[in-house]
Amino acid sequence: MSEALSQCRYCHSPILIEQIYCCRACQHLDQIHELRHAGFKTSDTTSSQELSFLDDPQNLREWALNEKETEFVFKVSGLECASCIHLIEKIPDYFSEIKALTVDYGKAQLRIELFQPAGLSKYIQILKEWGYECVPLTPLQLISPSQSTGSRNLLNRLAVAGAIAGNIMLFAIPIYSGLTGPLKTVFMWLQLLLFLPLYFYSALPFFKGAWNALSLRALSIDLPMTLALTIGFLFSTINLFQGSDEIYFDSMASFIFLILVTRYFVQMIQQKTEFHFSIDSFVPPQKYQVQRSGKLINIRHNEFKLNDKVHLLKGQIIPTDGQLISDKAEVDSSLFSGESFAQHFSHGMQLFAGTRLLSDFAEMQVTHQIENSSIANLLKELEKGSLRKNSFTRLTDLVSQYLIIIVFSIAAIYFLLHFQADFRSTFHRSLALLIIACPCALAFGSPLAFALGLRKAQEKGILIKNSDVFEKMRKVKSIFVDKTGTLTNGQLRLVKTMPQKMSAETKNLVLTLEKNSHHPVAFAFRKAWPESSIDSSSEAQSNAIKEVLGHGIQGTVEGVDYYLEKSDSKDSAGMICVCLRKNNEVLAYFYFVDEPLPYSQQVIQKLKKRFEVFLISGDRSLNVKSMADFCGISAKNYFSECTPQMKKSIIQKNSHSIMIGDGLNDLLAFQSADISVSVQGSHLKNQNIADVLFLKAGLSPLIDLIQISDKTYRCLTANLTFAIFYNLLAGFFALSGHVNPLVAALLMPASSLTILGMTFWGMK
Amino acid sequence: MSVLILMIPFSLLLGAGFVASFLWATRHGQFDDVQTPSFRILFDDENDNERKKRNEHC
Repeated sequence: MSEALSQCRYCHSPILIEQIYCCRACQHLDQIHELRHAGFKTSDTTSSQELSFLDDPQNLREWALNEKETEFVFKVSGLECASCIHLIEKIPDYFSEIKALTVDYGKAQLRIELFQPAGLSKYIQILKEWGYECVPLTPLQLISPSQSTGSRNLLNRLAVAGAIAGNIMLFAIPIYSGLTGPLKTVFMWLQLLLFLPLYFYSALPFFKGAWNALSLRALSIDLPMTLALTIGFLFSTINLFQGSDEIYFDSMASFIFLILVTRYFVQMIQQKTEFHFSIDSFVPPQKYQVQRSGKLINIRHNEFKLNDKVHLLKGQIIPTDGQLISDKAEVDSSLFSGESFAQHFSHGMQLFAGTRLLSDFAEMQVTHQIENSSIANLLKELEKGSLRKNSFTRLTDLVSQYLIIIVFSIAAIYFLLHFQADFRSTFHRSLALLIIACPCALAFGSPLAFALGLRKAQEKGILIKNSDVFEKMRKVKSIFVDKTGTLTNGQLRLVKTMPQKMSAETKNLVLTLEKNSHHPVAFAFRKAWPESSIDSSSEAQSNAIKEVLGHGIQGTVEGVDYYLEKSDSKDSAGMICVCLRKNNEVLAYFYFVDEPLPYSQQVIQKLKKRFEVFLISGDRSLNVKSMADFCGISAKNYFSECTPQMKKSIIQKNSHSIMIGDGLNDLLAFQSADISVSVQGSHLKNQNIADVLFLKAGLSPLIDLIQISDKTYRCLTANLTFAIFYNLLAGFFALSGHVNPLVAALLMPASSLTILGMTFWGMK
Repeated sequence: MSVLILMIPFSLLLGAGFVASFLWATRHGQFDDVQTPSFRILFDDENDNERKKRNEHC
């Protein structure tokens, strides 16, 4: 389900139908056939003030990746298509002081290298004008575990494993084809020689994992794998010394290689689903005025102490959580609430890091360091969730653990029963059983499926914090949806006026009265009448415009008192009504509606086919009823005028539920639902607690989420079934004496590749 | 038969050489980003002559 799409005129990637190009780079490259200098000159001098911190030598020293202080890395947002990379990488052509500038699309990073140490603001300025926001990264942030070092290590081990496995095969196949004599012995010894670096280098991650699991008394897939590898190694080596044929180096080598390949894939995907936000993308490294011991000093954004009194100026981003100690402040909290208009804060209220001050001045007392601010906690929460192993994988570990125990017991019992008859053969069969019954399918089938599921979801604009969601989705029976901000826009629209035709003077009058208001009604008026602007003469003569919170506006224009206030006219079923009156004479009525988001209706219809859909809202019954009727939710399934506690108790009565909401009043409900979803534009606290975040507006991502969960679950059950079936078959072969090194060399890679193939194909 | 005594060590050395060059490449960051170079192929770049002409104008 998608909004109407068309194609970018230059690069043909999908865009919304109102746009022509997907990004400014495409626009540039399409319209300007030769890149002229004009596109690269900075025109706006005011914004270069904002970026002057990029020239500060102290900052540059902190960010530099090399001793000479000429290499820097930035996090870039706004990259859309190849044209963006193309355009950005053209910058060095016009500035000879840049040695190299490369973009990493997957990680959304930009690396710049200069010939000599210099300031960076002019380049970042150009990028900003094109629509790319850049934030510098410090070297510390680059050496995080998931970054290059970790994946390079794995890649190295993988390469060594692959080379060795291939070469061992080179010496194994002639033996299977019938080689005899001294050459055969030589080849067998060569296999052992090649296997040594594999066992002691490439397989180390498994041993480390198994050791960790043992020391924490936890279950992990690494344990049975380590066991199988070690037993196989010892067994094969002893056999070699005793002159026997039963060596398994080739199958173990290919097994290690395949598992490392899977782990590499999973790591690559998890790196991409890593949430690319760090604190610094929200608080730029500016200087702030702080009052300490009576003196006003300038300090940097990361040097705040608790209880510092910060003097904030208009346009500054609030650097950390604090309490407002001046009288009033207007703040742009769009970071958290998604609301574009200013929020009013009064003395004593808490201000949050990352929001922007709109009033001229405010004084704030620091209550939290940036690491403990609300936004930092949200980021930590998101990071933790994405790394946590989910219960189903633990279930897989459990299953594989039992499998090994069962296999061990069967091998031991078989040995004890038969060893007196024929020691050698019984011993071989038991050991063959142990080697071949290794739960490789479970080892990488599940994590790979979940990683692919997370990536698919991210591509559709759904951020999932932990993979529990896929499993829980299977059991969900009821869906609870909040109304305002979730099903609806959250913004008002003017739909009707009485009298129907509004004169220009009346429009003028209303706009004048509302000119300083940030109330949703004011925004609705301005959106409805964009062509009318406030007449300067009447504005000059208007004074004493007063907003009475909760009631409306009163003001004097050209000597006459007017009132714009809420009214409960009987026609206003489901709508908000405002009336304009002059003293006691009503001049006009205005009706507003909180519009449902596009596709809300269709999504609910689709959901109803499979789930029971409920609407719970804190709004009045008439409004909730009209929305429920519009979406097709039956009378017994909607609840109006709910307090947060009521929402919680309603959900508790239904097991297996999803709660979708956006406001603070949904928080308690989130905690009692099985899966909680936070829609686009939600309040920060919601995003903190929710299991899933939608990055696209509306409810349609929910349909995508359900489809992806179904797919992932199907893939997992297929893998599990195949694994069990394979183990039964292989076990039978082993005990009946049919398993020799050749069979093992064929069966083990075959089963691993089958699982890999099934997962990739199933998650397409 | 006797040639194998020469060939086997040589081929192993060759294999080791390739592994060594792979490890060298990884250490120099060749495999850190495999996605962006795929975009770079699509760029419509002006060649050196065109750039010289343009620089003469400006």
